[in-house]
Amino acid sequence: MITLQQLTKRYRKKEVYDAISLEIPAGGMTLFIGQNGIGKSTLLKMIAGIEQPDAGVILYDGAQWTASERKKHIGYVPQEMALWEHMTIDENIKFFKGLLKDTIGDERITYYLEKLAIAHERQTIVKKLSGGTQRKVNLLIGLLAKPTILILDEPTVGIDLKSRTEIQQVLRELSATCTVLLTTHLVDEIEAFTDNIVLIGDDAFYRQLLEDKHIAYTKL
Amino acid sequence: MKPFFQLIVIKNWRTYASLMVLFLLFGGGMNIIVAEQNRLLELPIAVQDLDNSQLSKQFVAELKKQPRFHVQELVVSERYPEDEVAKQRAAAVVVIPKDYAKRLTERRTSGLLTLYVQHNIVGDIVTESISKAAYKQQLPFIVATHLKDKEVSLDDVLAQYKKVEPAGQLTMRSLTAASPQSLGLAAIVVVMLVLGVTQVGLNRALCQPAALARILVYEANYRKFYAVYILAHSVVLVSGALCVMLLTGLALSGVALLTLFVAAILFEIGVVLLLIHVRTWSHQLFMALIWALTLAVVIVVLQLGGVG
Repeated sequence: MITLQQLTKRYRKKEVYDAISLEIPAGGMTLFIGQNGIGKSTLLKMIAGIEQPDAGVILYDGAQWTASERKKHIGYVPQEMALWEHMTIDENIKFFKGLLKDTIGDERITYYLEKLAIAHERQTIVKKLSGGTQRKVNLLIGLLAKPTILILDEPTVGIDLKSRTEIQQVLRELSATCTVLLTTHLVDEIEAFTDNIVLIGDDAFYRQLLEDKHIAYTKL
Repeated sequence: MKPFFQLIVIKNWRTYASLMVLFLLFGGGMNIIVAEQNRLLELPIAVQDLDNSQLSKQFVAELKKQPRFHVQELVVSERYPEDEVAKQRAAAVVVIPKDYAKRLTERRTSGLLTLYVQHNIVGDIVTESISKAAYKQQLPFIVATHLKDKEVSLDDVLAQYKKVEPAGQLTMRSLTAASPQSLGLAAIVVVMLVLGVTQVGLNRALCQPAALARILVYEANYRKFYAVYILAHSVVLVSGALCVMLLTGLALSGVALLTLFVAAILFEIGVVLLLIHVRTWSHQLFMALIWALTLAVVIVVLQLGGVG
């Protein structure tokens, strides 16, 4: 379980979060939704340890993790394509795998490549890949560290339905063994992952949407 | 370190090849300019050998040995050899008469050679050198004349002369070792840094903020990235600078190598920080150029012995 206690975050004079608290259950999928600029990415970055809160604590299974513990247990997939564009899929995997001490094996990598339908493009350089394939590789790099908590910032934005479905299937499978946190704006994704939905902000549109579809949510 | 070596060195080999090509092109260009400058410093001397004897050929060979003489032989049919001087194609023209060998042997050397020469300092220098060469050849014949009464043959004199030919009293020493403080070395450092700025354009593939940021998910900092980048690029810059030094005939030394390495490492520290922390390409380029020029000024001042 991930517990946020009295978390506060400010950017200069703008207060993004003011002493918020939340409990995220272990395992399964947790979706964070809300309007643009409300602080969804900031919240995920704080949980991932990439950004630090101004006040409050984050507990992982009841304890505060050190930076090295966070790096060991948390996989973070940023919204941007965090890949070396001039290198192939295999070269990117090799590079990021080389930075890790404990990684998933080659068989598991091949499994994910096949599951994401990109195994045939392993030797293609990233900048020649479609946006959807790049997103899949972006996700795969996040899985290399064998994370127990996987954090994804809009992992399916801007890609076709087929690619989105393939990514969603992998995420669904992962949620059986690890805690998956993601942000999204897509209605089909909200409908697909209703395990635990957290609504950030007061936007009436999202509230109405969830209520119309009879989806339970937690207000943050 | 291995993934960084793969990223910065192996996958980036074109950058290093391009840098080396730039250095070689610059060094080659400088080599041509230096050779042309040396050629301009040579004194053109024309020789017309009407005798074509062994002694006359020996004299021509002696002239060719004179430092900075570029000897051109004129054909026997040339009727106006002096035109070479008049038309400023030669600093001097030496005409060796038909009976040169005969008169030399008989010691009838007065007015033997005809010399056309420019009336200026170059002409004076050339005259002096030609006189020296002529005198060197005449010397054994003069000695043989004086020893005629003692029944010493010319061949004996020549053989002995070859053995005991007096050495010059001046000792010529060429400077091959470079001083730790040399303007040549300072110029090479400046060239190395300025050419090194091109890596900002050549290393675009390494300037991918999102991929760089992802490194920090796994690493505490960019220390390994910095180390591989600085070392690899410094080695290439120093190698390139050494090529330029060899091509331009500048002397290598341990101090020169150390100076180049220190300058390259300082420069690369600045460049790698710019590549990672400055997003805009034009800003990177401008700042790298300013950094290179700042280091260049410091090094030139140090090479000149400080500002005091």
